[in-house]
Amino acid sequence: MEGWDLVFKYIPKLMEGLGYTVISSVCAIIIGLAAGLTLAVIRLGKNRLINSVISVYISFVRGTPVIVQIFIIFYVLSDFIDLPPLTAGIIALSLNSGGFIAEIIRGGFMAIPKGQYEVCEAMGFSYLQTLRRVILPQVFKITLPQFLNEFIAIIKVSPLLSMIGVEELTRVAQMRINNLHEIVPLPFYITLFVIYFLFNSLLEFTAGKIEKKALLKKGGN
Amino acid sequence: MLGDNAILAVNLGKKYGNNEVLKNISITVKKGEVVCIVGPSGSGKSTFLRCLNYLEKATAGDIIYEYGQIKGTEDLKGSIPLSNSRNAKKIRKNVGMVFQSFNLWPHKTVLENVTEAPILIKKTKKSDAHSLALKLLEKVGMSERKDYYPSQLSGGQQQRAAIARALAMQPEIMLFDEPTSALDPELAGEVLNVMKELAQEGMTMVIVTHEMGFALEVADRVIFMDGGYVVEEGKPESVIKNPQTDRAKLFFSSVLK
Repeated sequence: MEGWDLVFKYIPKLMEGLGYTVISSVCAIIIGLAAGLTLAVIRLGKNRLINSVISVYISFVRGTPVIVQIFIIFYVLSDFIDLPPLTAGIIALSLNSGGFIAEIIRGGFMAIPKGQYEVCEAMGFSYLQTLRRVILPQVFKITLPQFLNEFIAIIKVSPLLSMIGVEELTRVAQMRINNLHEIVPLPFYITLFVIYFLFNSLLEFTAGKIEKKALLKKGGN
Repeated sequence: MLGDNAILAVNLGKKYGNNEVLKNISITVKKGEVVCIVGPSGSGKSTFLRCLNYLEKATAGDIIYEYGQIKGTEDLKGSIPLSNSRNAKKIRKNVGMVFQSFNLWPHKTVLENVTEAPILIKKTKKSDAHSLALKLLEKVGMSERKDYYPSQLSGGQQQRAAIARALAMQPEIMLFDEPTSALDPELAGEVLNVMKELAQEGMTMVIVTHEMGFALEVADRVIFMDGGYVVEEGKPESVIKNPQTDRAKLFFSSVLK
């Protein structure tokens, strides 16, 4: 089929793009996890004002298109500092996944019976010891599948970063297509399709393995 | 003030808003004594027990141990005294508790459940905590299952492991909150046997229970509660077999059928 020779020629460039896709997604998921965990733990406290600020933030994140969030972060931040698009993009994706992960972790907290806290209290654990040794390990186990789904979701929205000029995988392909007018675009898109699919399948496979291992070790509970 | 008493609860009260669930309760527990608290659901017996280690905050009265004292919160005009949480910490190191729902940590093995608190709270050396745990698991008949996770165990096994976990802190007093209510009679028997053994070794125990046979056999004293009051108190034989008040007569005649 026509056009595949060009795809092969640009494979190294595409791999470079994949590198940016992976960097931005991995950074976003790690920062998002830290942010989401922090928000979820703060929400366990009973401060009404802080909690409503957090829920408003989460509704914003969940109720608006990611692309709009990316543009807003990019333009707001570039008013103050000279930020490379990649950094702005990572911040935007982190804020987004932070909101979703906060909800995921909150669900995990709600699944822990009250007795788990009480027994720690009765044994003289401090609140932090209770969280660290007893509650969080259980929350992570419960939320692991959703957490990995969120990671895959982030990878799938990462092409939106091309809109602010991050040269991630999709943008690399598009630039080739736009620059060479005689090019047939389909082979490039099929290549993208396969790369994203393989990458996420690999993630899902690993996730499945980890989950299975955790389940076996914990005796199915 | 305490003498040979382990726990002194004086004029204890507990209110949730306007709902008064404990009314002026005074109970003394002697060192080495086994006290069973019985009564219908909603009588306040579990609430009373939970006040003893500050899981519930009593609103009136005092709870006195040799390790410290907890004051009712309302006596201090609503502000919860800092000394309460400080003293509760000391008390909890010496007072173990066993729950109706076991509350084993599902992500840890039986052995890890038992070694966790001594290592974390008492800063016991790992090897010491380990050998103590093995001894305690032997005592409750759980040595063979030490590497199992809680979800792989029966309710009776879980509760025995939970007792070993509480004992690992080497408490001087043990509180039991309906320890066998979630178990069928056969499994309850395993747990009650372990508790009987503890009682024979001289452990101070306060037990909220519906097991009248156990109370008759093991308790030094039985307290019958109803409606937030202590209605009767005395030797198990006399309270259970020969109650004086109408309320207690009615209760025991229905549970002893």
